[in-house]
Amino acid sequence: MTTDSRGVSRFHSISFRRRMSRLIALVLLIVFSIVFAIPFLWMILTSLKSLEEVYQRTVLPQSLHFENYLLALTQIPFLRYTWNTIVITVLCVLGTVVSSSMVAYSMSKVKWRGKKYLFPIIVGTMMIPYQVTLIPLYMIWNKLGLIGTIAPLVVPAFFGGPYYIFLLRQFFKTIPDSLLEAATIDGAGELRVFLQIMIPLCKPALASVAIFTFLGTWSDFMGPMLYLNSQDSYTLSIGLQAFLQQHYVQWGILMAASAIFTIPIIILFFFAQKYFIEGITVTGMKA
Amino acid sequence: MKKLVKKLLALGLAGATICGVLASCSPGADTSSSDSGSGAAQASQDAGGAQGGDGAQTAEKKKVVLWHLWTGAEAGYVDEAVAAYNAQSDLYEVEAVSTPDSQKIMVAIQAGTGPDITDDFTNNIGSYASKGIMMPLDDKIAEVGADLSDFVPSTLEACRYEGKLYALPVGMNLMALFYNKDLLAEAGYTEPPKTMEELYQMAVDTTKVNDDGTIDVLGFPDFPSVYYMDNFAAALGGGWYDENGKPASPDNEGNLMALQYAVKYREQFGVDNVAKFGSAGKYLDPTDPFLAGKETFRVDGNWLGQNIKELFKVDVNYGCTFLPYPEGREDLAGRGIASSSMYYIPSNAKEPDGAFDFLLYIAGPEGTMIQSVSRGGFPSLLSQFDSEEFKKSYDSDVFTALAESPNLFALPNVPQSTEYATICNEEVELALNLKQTPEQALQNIYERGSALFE
Amino acid sequence: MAQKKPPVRGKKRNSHTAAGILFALPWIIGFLAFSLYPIVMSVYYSLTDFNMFQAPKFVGLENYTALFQDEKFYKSLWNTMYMTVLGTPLSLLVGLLMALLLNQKVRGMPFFRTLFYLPSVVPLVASSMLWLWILNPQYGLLNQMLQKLGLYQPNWLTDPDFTKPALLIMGVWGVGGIMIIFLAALQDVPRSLYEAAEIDGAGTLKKFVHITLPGISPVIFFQLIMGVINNFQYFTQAYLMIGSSTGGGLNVVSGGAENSLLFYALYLYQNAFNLFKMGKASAMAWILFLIVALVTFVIFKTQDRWVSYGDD
Repeated sequence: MTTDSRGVSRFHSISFRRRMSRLIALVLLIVFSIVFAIPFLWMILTSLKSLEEVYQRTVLPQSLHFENYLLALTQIPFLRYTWNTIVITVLCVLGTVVSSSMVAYSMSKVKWRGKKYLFPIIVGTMMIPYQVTLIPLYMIWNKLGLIGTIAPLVVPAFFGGPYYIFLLRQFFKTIPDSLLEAATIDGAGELRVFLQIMIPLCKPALASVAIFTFLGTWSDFMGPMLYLNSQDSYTLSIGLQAFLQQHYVQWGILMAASAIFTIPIIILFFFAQKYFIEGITVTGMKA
Repeated sequence: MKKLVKKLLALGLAGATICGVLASCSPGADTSSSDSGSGAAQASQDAGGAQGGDGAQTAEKKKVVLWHLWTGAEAGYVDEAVAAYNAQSDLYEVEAVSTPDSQKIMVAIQAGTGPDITDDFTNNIGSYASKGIMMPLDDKIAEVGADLSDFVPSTLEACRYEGKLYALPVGMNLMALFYNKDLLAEAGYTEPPKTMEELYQMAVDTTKVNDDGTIDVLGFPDFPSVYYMDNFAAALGGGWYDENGKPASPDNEGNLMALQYAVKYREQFGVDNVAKFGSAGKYLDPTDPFLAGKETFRVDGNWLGQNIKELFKVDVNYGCTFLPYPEGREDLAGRGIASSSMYYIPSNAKEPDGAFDFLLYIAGPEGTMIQSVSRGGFPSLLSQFDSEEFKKSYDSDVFTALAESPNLFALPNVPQSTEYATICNEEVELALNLKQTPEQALQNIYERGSALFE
Repeated sequence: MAQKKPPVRGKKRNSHTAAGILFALPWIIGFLAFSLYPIVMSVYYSLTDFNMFQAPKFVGLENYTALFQDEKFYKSLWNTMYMTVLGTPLSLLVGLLMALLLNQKVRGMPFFRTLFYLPSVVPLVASSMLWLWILNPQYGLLNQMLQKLGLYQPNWLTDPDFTKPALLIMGVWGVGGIMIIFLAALQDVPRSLYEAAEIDGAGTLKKFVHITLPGISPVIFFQLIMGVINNFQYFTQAYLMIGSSTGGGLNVVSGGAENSLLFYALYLYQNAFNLFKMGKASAMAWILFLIVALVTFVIFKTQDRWVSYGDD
């Protein structure tokens, strides 16, 4: 029990400690999950209540009013709004991911002098409150005759978003130069380095860019409200306003509509989140 | 290198193609007005259930674009009125678009891409008209010989700026005193107060305090506080403007009295407790204290009864009467502010004649009946006071008497109205939170207001 | 040899410049087409008296000098500083902790990740009602809990000392985005470094300080800069909270209880779209720009000391 069992007990204690820390992590995860799930659960619970019940400050619905969902789906042209929202969102995600990663590559791994001057401007554009550039920007779209179309909502996405460029640049910069140089010696051009090394290595970052763009576009109210001029082209976030009337709010139906509004984002997130843990190829390539 | 350039070019081209396709096939494009127009008209017909003209007839009519701030069911009422208009007009076809964002409407109007006609509230008329946003209507009215004598005079007055008429009212907003009969009865009162002094006594007697000092039943009409000050000041003979449309004197007795009583109540029951009670409830919402039977008095509009009985279906035993006057000043009974929702034509409307034709309809007996009066709204037309629909609405007797009161007045329309109202709110709030005396508040309002009106 | 090298270098640099421009081209085109003109115009507006509807009248620096005498300008600047200085570190800290927790190897992680992100997904119109319910001074969950603990129960919605802390508390639920970026960054820290440290017998804390933190420092740097830029433009939550606590639909231009929620961007918005003082709003925008640019510049200057981009 002296010499050779010491190794065994040390082994045991390590695995015990690991198990303990895992248990603590699990408990913390569950506690925080509940805390973070409150807004969503509350939305679902409220969506099943009648208006009188919302009024009574109870937590659980006494009877389940699933008809709120039916009402939410029928009071506004849900299908049309959903389709409009999908079209805009998909194009914005596509445009943002492609263009922002290109620009971010130029701002991080391409060796050229211009990036020193360009990058501060990119970051700087985010510091100007949109409220004061909104009118001249609207004038540009008006000159182009594109007010009332989805162009002002999706075309800018294809020119790179400063926030995403900055984010991706930070990720790209952590990729060791040695990795890229090896590829350059192989005779690969910048485009191949970009497509075959940078993009696969930065999947978690690209996934987060896609998620953020999706969420941002999906729930954007101001953009569609400002540029779309006919009810046929409205999006879901404008549609939600139908349940917020001036002197009273149909809480149950509003929450049901909000729940339906939210579900695509949750599904997308659930399936996309595996990419957040899939970026560990750096070490693999180094070895 | 060449390869790279080519590939990038290809990528750029692909992007450009996508953009191009998008721009051309996007729905509801501004330029393809005819088909998007009929689409919306179709939608509004579906919503309203009314039958418009047939397709061939629609194509010949000139399109008039209406943007309104309403949403949901209330937007449906507008759609119904629009459908009814379209059915009877041979010249114009109105396309209604629910646009619940006034910022968008303003941005579009300044760019010249706005609607032919839109709606707002009369308190913005000074600001809008002074900037040339609105088209004056006097010439057009003279041209068609429209008769405006049916409009309630104070509502029409609320649509004027510097002597010119810029809008027509649809419905009227009037404020009265609502009271909880049960709470008054518990304290031994059978009649509502007539004077401010009586009201205060009843407010104190009906207030119920919890063990920790917080308030269970609020006696004084402190909630919502934004409603209290403006309307009580007016009822007690005051107001934020003098007869020249300039800031009222800091010695104005009505203003001082209104503020002093509110402060007195807060001092008596604890400013924190009253404030907590105020933010515990949200106006016309499940948590609204008056709906929960936790507020004795309430300044509110002609829509409150409808909300209580039809929307929230709450069992509150309430009554409705004029706001109080100071003791010995019966001559001030029925004093109050009239404001309205209104429709106006932007000065750069592309189809002003059609917009005006529709304006006369929507503000006229048929339009207001469909959009407002038959939904419990308060009429802006004298002829509708006798209508069946209006008599069915809640508290119509009190509000009719109020509408006919000689003491009813419209706020002057001045360009600075929004900013001045903000100043008044800020200073009153500080006084209500006991951070300054009522006298100081009125003095500050006068000084800041005068600087603004210079 | 020495003579041959320079032209090669030169050629190489040229090709890099071309590649650099080509890759940056989308942004350059977008900037020239959609940003440059609005930026120039807003500078011009800031030198004019402009109400959006009538032609701007040139007034020189009058808007700027008037702002320096405007009490509400300073008030809004103070409120904004408060949110930036307290809100930025708070959300970074919470976001990082949540990301570390989600980076554990525990079963069912996809569900936990999704649950943690949920508050960021719920539409603001829905969640703002929940928050009014939680923060309700008399019936709210938070004050009920404080009461049970025997603590002071503040008036979260109308006491000017507590409205901003209430927004900070709400902000904690919105760290989903920050958390995800950290989570992505944690994946990029090479496993081999941890394995090497474990062989050396390094503890959890030591590994965190010496491997994790430097590894994700580029992303911390990003979050810090963006936190500053975004908090200086703090707007939406305050706008919604004011709208719902003053009894929405009352058409009041308000900065919350005693203007305690009058943030810089909100005051700017009110000037632009409620009062139609586009000149004043533009001047405000450019003062803000200078402040944020200065702060960002200082943070960028510290970069070399604590941000590590690997072997760059």
